[in-house]
Amino acid sequence: MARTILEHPGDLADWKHQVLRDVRRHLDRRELLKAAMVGAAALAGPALLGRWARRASAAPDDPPKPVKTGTFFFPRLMFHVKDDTGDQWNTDPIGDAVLRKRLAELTNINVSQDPVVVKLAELDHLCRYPFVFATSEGYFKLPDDEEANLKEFLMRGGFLHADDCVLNQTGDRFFQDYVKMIRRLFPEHELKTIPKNHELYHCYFDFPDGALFLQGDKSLQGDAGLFEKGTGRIMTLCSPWDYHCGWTCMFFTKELNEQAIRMGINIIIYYLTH
Amino acid sequence: MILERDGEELMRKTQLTTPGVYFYRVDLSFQADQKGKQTYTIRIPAAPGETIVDNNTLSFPVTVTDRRLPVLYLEGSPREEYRFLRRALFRDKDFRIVSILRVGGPKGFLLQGAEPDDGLEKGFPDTAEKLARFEAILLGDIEAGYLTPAQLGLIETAVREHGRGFCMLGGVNAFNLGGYQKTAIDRMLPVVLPAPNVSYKQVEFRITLSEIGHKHPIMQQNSNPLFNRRTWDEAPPLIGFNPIDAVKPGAQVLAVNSQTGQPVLVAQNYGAGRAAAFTSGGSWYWLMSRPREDELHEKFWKQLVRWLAVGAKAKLTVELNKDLFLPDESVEIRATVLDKTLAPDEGAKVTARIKDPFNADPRTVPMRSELIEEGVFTAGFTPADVGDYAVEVTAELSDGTRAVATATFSVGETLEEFRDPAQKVETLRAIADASGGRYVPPAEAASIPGLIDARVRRMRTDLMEYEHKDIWDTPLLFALLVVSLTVEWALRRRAGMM
Repeated sequence: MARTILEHPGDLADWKHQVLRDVRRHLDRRELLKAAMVGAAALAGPALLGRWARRASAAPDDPPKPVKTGTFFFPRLMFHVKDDTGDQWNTDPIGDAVLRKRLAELTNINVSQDPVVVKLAELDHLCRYPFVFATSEGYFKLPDDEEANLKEFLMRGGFLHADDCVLNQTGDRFFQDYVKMIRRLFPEHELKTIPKNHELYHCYFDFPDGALFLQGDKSLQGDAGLFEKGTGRIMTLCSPWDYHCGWTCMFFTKELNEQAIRMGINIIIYYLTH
Repeated sequence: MILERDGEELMRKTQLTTPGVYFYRVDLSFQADQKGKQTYTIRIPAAPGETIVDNNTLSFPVTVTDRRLPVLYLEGSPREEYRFLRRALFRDKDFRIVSILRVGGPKGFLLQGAEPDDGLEKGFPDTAEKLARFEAILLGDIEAGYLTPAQLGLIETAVREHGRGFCMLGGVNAFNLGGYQKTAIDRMLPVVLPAPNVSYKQVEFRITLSEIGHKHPIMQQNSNPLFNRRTWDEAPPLIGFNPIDAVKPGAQVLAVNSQTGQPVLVAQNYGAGRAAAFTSGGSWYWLMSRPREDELHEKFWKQLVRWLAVGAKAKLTVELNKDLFLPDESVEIRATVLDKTLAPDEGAKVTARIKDPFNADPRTVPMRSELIEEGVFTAGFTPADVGDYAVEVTAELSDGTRAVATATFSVGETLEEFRDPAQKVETLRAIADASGGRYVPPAEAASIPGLIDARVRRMRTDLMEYEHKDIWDTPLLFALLVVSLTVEWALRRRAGMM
């Protein structure tokens, strides 16, 4: 399945603003698709320039803007990986934008539509955004400093939703690596499949069957959650079945896309209430 | 060893025994997760050949009460401030945080931490009884119009008359922006609300504590005043605030915006309760910007809520001398009554109502003031029937308010004689000495027949012995009788008498 990997050399922020402007202008799926396709086409050329170009684009947004009280941000987490598989932290940002838009429409959360990117390497910046989203279809082995920052972020009370952008409809490299890392970083807390009767699946929209399957390895049990010892709160969530691709509204049926968006909203409501 | 609650097995534990050791201490810990009175039983299964099994069971009553501080938090929309504040109180088992969070969508609101008895299925309490279950009330970023004027009035009355605590938090729908002007909440707030068009400032700022603030219990992060001052000097910024320019007479400004000097935390006593205003909605950054070990955020909110709730502290406590009594054993009831200022209330009228196991008409017993201890009232009662009793103590305080507290106890067989079945050597020696006997330890039991023989022989030499024998049925007597009859027969024959 095709992916839009943002590997262009320079004006990442401009690109994202352009995408968002289009998203705001066109709310229906057809227009979203159109905007995404335009964005993808605009990036196709620079993406071919190679890894050096992507590295050159590593600078995320402008310096962080003041966080507005009561405003919920949905930032994308920028990370690096140790092996040679590429830093695919920036897959399909259109999915984030669609979710933000629908979040504002379907809930009373004061959602910022700003496409914020936060660096895992910068703890102070990261901690200004207690909720962050990460996705990738590649391997996920973090450098030591980013691993330490992630641990500190989650221990302070931050929340990371990690979503496996399924590779070739079956791959689960990101999910497997993430789960292994979290298990190693937090041996005192329990990492397990979130049961279908957990309030994550019922706090806003009702998902009687629990985790939503879009694509990937169906033999996996579903979403994995790290449960805080003592309180039972989910500290981080890793979904193996590619909710994010559902948010893009490009790859599945309209109904399935909407279900994926609603699942994303449930995750955010759960985060804001626990 | 098996632990049971009302017949249901909760846990079992095995204790290995060692020859020669007769006493073992076994700790059984369990979570009392149900409120109310329960009977727990510890049972040891009878060992093969065990003769006395009545002492293998011990039952005891446990009354589980929820003494967590109940806090009601109403929030206007999901936001980080809600998440982190709720989390700070939720992680502490001293609090019971119940929150009503307005959300869009079909549900309307999310209810978290509530119990069925709270009666909040339809949202914020609409009666004084429901609201009275909470000792502190927090209003988050929500406009006055979300509640009815009657509900706003209930909050104000709960604080003024019933000693509850209240705090309004900052936000884009709070204070003047929430339309609280001229409402019952406005009367209670320690700040003067600015004009409706004064907007929320979405900026970062640090706070400076006032001199009163440095000494105030809410702001105590460290018992050392110098360390405490340094903690606040180094506190991270808050994000966003409602600009407030004036506070009400009698209100205490505990912290101000370091840049503008505008009050950030203001508190005051209001009637029997307390009210506070925290004008920022971005205290969560205190938590996220500090190392995970840092407690500033959590401590601040817990201390603020505790301070608010002190006005609602229980004014009446009741204790009994025991939990389990024998029939006709005297039960002593002891009640402590404190007034609004938490001073002993000597002028209170205190009565105890006792419900027997048959739920017959409760008996009312007046309680007498103890001369030695101020504010302490006592009463005695002798239960006749076996079963569970409930005591409800009512105090009419000097200021006209009323307080109620309850306690429970059981009357039944205590199996006291089996409680400590070990041999009482000294008692046995005393009995032996008094009765002319002798104490023999179990290990020397085989010597007892010899001791008795020796004792009897010694007595023979000391005393005349009597022996009772029946003589009429001996063979000799029978032969003599036969001979006599034969001689008589012979004499009669010889004399021609037959």
